[in-house]
Parts: sequence; structure tokens; C-alpha cells
Amino acid sequence: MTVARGPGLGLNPADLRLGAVILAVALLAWAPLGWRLGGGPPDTDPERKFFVVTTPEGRVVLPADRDACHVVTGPLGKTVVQVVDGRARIAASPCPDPACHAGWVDRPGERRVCLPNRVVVEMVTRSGGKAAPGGGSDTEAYDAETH
Amino acid sequence: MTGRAHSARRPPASAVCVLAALVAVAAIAAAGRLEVVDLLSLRASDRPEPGVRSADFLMGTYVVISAEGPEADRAVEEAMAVLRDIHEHLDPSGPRSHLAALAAAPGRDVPVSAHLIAVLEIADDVNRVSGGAFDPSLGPVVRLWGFDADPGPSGGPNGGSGAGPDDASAARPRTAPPTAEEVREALGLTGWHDVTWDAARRTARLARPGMSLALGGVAKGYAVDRAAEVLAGAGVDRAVIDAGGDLYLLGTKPSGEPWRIAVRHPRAEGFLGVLELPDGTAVATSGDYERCFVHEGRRYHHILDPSTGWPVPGVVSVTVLAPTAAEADALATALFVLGPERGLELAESLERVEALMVDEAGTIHLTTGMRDVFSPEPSGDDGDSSGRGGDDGG
Repeated sequence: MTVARGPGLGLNPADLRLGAVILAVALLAWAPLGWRLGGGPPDTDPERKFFVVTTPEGRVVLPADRDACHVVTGPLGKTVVQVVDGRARIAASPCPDPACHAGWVDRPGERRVCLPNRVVVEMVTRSGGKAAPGGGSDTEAYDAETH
Repeated sequence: MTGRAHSARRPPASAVCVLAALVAVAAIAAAGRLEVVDLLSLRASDRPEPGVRSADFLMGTYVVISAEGPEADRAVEEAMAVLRDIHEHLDPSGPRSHLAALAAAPGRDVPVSAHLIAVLEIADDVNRVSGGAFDPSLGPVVRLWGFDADPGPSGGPNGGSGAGPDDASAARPRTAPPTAEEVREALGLTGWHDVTWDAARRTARLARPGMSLALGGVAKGYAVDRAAEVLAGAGVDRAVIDAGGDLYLLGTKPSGEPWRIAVRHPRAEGFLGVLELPDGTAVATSGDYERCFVHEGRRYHHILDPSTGWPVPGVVSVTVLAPTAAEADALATALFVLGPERGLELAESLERVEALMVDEAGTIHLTTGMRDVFSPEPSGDDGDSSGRGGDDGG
């Protein structure tokens, strides 16, 4: 009587060795790539800073420690938000008065707004920081800005 | 035959490669996902407990309320509802705009909201104490200059009407100044004495056709005060109401330290300095760096002199502290128009009002009380080329 055998792996030692080598290479590749994509070790730093870009279409969160150039769309067109060296600015916007939103955002609670294109760039910390009034642990930070 | 059967049972080496590659891709995707999870958790922390934060585009600016305490959630929601109501009534256009209704019915008593009556009363007080330096009847001149076309974060004083970008009737932003004749003509359609109202009957009237109100220099502050009332009435522990830089500070910080308010530098990147302020203080700033244009090397900004119809020269920024945001808002404009000497004199004469003025030369002028709460930012002048200083801006 013949016993039917399923497809099974039925690998010979050479196959297993080959598979092990490929897996090892894949895992080795994961380490630096995963580190880069994940922004380093598991992130639990409550003071890590982010930029929240709010538009009529929703919100985008950009880590402050990663340079980026992000394009968002508002009612007038495209606004370019630039993150460089831990600070962010509205680098370009289709509005008549770019001076309104000139300057960099580099402290938690600080923001720049392009009103005509409805784009807001704010710095926040993971812990919420200045989102709570008078909160945050940075005693040198400001509670609000008048302009 | 046997060889064929054996071959069918064993997956080829290429299948192992594919499997391994899939594992690798999954690992990489998982690594990438770490960040996604982080970002999602950050979104949740945008409303940190126990603080509550809400923001919206209202009154021609970006309004943010942050509050903390029992029922803060509900209180902030109510405060935002009040702001939206005021926005609809005091917007220059829109179906519920009382400003539009007034302008459309010159010479007639028009039913208006209690909000508009209250704003007119405050405006009248500031108009009186400033000798007419604050004048919301400048609507036609503001429109001529195009400063009602594009809302800046600080709204307009004797300027910006606070129109939103959806205000289809707003004028186009200018790139060159109007002629002297055009300004004279528009100025002929102004006059605070031609704006009258009856608080008891809740009506208002513009005397002549072509007149209109520009409440950008007081309405935002008024709205901030009403929001602060709601929050205080709801018993929140502390709150900051921020309408494009017009602020009201309610309660005390958990640390017991004073509120730290940065004053934006009018000509450079960064801040001019910091104000350390107690509970119940309102702050407002008027600057020539927002809502302006440059023509042939000269800056034309939105703060207009009611006596000439032209942008006020000599001053670049005024910050005022007052018991209410409406007063701070309107006085910031009035002091800007009056200039450092007369402006500081007026501020010194008013109870619980302090002022900081920056003139064209960059000199900072402070009232006596302001000296106690203002600390210049050491790095305030470390401007870079992206600052808002140069006349090549706008």
C-alpha cells in the first residue's frame, strides 16, 4: 500500500543551508534599514518633538529630527512645509502675503499659519507639551505668542 | 518516474528564496510601521489629559483654545460655539452678517446682535480716549487699500475687516497704493459720528450710502473675552485663548509661575522678548509686518491713519496689556496711530493698561508697568534672511 505524502517541505540539507543564509542576510539587512525607517530605537521619549501640519484635508505629523520637504494642499493650491535641523517653516504658499507666515517654528507651542490656504504648522512634543495650558516641562518655553 | 515524484514533493530552491524574501520584506515593513504607530499615538496625545485643545479658522484668523480642569472638554466646546456665533454676526459678509446688513441699508435702523452693540460700545470708548485714533468707520478706506481681501493673523485695526478667504465680495490685494484722490474719496465715506446705535432697541445705523464698518481691530478681542467668560464660568482651572496673537490668560499655571508670552520680533526672525503675566491678563499686538505690500521699495501696511487714510508711519509694532482682549486689541491700534510719545502717554493714563512700542529705528518704548514684566530676548536680533524684516518681503 502506498502512503500518499503531502507536498511537505522535504528539504534536503543544501536547501536548508541556502534558506538559512538568505534569512540571515535579510535579518542583517533589517537592522540598519529598520533603524532608519523606525527613527532609531523604540521611541518613548515624551519630549521628542514633532511638527503637526494641519490642512483642510487632515493632518500630517513630521518628526522634527528628520529633515523633510512636505507638500500639502489647501483651497488655493500647494503649500510647502520644510523641516530642517529640528525647525520647520512654510517655505512656499500660494498666498498674496508670505510675510504673514515668515520665520521658523522651533519651540513647542509655536506655530505659523497661512490663513488663505488654511495651513497650520505647529510644534508639539509627544507628551502633549504646550498643548495643555501652562504645561510642558520646558521652563524656557513660551505659553503663547503675540504678534 | 520516481525521480519525478521526488521532485514534486520538494519545493524548488527558488521558492525558499521567495519565502525568505517575504520574511525580509515583512520585517522591513514592521520596522517602518514602528513610526506609523508612533504617529498614531501622537495624534491621540494632541489632546493630552487633562488638557483640552480646540482650534478653528474664525474671525479671519486661527483661533486656539487650550484649557485644563473639570469639565474643560464641555467648556471649550461651548467657548468655540460662542466664537463661531460671533464670527457669523461680525463677519463682513455671509447670510448672518450684521455688518453686511448695515452697509446695505444706509440711513435706516437695522436690527443687530447684542455682540455688535457691545463691540460698538467698546470701539466708542477707545475712539473717545484716543481722540479718534481708533476708528472702525474706516471700512471704505480699508477696502480701497485691499486689506480686507486677505486675512492676516492679526486681523486689521483701522484696517482688516476680518474677512475670510471665502469672502467673495472682498477686494483684491493690492500691489500698488491707491491714488491720493481715491484715498480722499474713500475717506469721505467715513466718520465715527455717522455710526449710531440704540442699545435698548438693539439697532444700528450707518448714516450715508457707501459707509461700512471695519471691526477687525476690536472684534477678535471681543470674541476672545466672551470665550474667556464661558471658560471661567465653567470653572476651568486655567486656559489660554489665542486668536491670532490676541490672547487672554485665565487662571494660573500648575507651577505657579507667571504665564510666559513671547512677543514676535517685527523685523527679524525670533522674538523681541518675553512677557511674564498674571491671571486675567489680555494681550494684543498690532504690527506693520502682516498684511502689507511693498511698492517701489516702500512698505504699505494695513494700519491706517483715520485722519489721512494712509498707512501710519513711524511705528512698526505695538503690544498692549489690558484687563480685556477687546481693549488690548483696540488700544494696540490706537497707540500705533498715535505714535510712541502720545501713545505711551495714553497708555500711562489708563488703569491696568501697559504698552510696548517699537519704532521705525528699532527702539523699544515701554510704559512704566511694562518694564516690570517685559524681558528682551537676548537672541531676538539673530535674524536670518527668512525673517519678516526687509521691505523686499510682503
